[in-house]
Amino acid sequence: MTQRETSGPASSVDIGPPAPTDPLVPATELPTTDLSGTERRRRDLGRPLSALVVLVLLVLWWVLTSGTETIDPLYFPTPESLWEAVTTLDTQLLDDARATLWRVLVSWISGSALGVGVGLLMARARWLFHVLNPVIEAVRPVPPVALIPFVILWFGIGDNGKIFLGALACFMVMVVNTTVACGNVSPVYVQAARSLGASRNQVYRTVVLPAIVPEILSGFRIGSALAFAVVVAAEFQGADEGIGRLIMSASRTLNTSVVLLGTIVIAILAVALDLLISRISAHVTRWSANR
Amino acid sequence: MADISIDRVSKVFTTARKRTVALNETSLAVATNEIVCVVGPSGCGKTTLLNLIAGFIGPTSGTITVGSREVAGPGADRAVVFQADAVFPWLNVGDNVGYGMRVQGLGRRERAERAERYLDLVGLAEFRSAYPKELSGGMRKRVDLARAYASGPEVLLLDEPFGALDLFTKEAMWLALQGVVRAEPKTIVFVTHDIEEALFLGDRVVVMTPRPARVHSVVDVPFGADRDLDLRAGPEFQALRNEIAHTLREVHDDAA
Repeated sequence: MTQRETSGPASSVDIGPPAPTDPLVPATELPTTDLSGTERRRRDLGRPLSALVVLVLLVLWWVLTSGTETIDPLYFPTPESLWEAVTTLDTQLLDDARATLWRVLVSWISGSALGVGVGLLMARARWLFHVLNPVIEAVRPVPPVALIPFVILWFGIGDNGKIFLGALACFMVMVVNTTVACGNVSPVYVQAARSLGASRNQVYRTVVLPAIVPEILSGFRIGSALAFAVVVAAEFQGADEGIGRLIMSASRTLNTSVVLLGTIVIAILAVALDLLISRISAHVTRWSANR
Repeated sequence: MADISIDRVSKVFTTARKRTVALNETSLAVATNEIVCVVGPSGCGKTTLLNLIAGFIGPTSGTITVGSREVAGPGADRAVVFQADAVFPWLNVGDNVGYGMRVQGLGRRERAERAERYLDLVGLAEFRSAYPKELSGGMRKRVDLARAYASGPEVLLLDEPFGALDLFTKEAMWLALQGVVRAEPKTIVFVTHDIEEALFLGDRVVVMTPRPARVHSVVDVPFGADRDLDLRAGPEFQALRNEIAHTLREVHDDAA
């Protein structure tokens, strides 16, 4: 019961200050959500529930491995051996994580930016759409990891090949996402803007660009997860550092605790990046009725 | 001068399969600061007529002149309010109302002052910083109206703007429109399928027919500028209402 009392005021902080009655209060201070009592109670329960699930899984893991030895540690490592892996690897783990995160960030940012740019141009100029669309439609269904042999030939096993693959994956997602988003802009907005005096260029800048922001941001989230998948897969095939290399070399010696540790590190990094993007996107698209 | 002159305008839509005459040799003149309401069953070309005046589409033949200029595309002299919600959700109320002035290059100060005036006129001054998603449908329509007015048009084109609202909100919107027009008269073409709405707001009511899509008749509305909602119960209003309803039924049956 005491938990509910403490969670009440704490959660009222996330839902923002009450609606301003003073018209001089800037829009940024408006509440982003207006939760009714039941909805707020549901949200209050949500976080403890998620935490409880994680806790139950952790306990279950310990019970099934170290506790009762139901599962052979070869098939699934014990919590103790995982901790041992963390301490043995020490700074090497950090170096591998840093290498992977760097590749993911560079490929995600460059691929997404290029994808949005090309998508915008394709939505703007029909001829460019007809030139690029067949190429994109042909390359899009190909899993980027299928190109790894080529990429190793072209770029070797350094950073560049992995960044290229991750960027390619993000580029494909964002090109399609952007052209579709531009096509989804309601013609009523465009007509209204035109009749209010906007030129075609102004419509593009003041209507199309802001209107597609929510869809672009959800594309960024899909892209970031994909960048992790592709970069780690590329690291499996050969790398001097990176979580993918760590997992692959550990699996050769059946060191399952390091394999598990690697996947956990990837999960933590990916979730952190996703959380960051969704936080930013929640702020940027606070006007959207879908939130 | 902001009169509208529609001179023998036709609009034909052609697809691979068929040719649809959306508007046939239609002529109509709207005087400066006159409110003309256009009623007719669906398919009579009333929205086509409005889109032609707005410049969203071009006529197949004939000419449309607003003031002294022939219409050749959309422009700030002709603001449109649609039935669909066209208030930009990514801008707050004040920025929505200031949008037309912004794209026309007015300074921030002047924009804020003028936006303020029109928000006052539609009774939304204290919602300046709210986002559209926080407003009701009726309030968003007021924003739309204020935005159209604030962009400084000579002509206002309304395409069933209150068609999606419930009766009480609709009545409130009639009074809001009346208030804005009283403060700042404009030449208005108001397309609707609601006869009461047309008679309550219009100086003249144009009845259109489908197939051929053209003006059937024009009814002068004799009620002057001061109208309240009770006007609708009066015998003269009822008589006109019945007359128009009768005409519409007739042309509808002919077409069907």
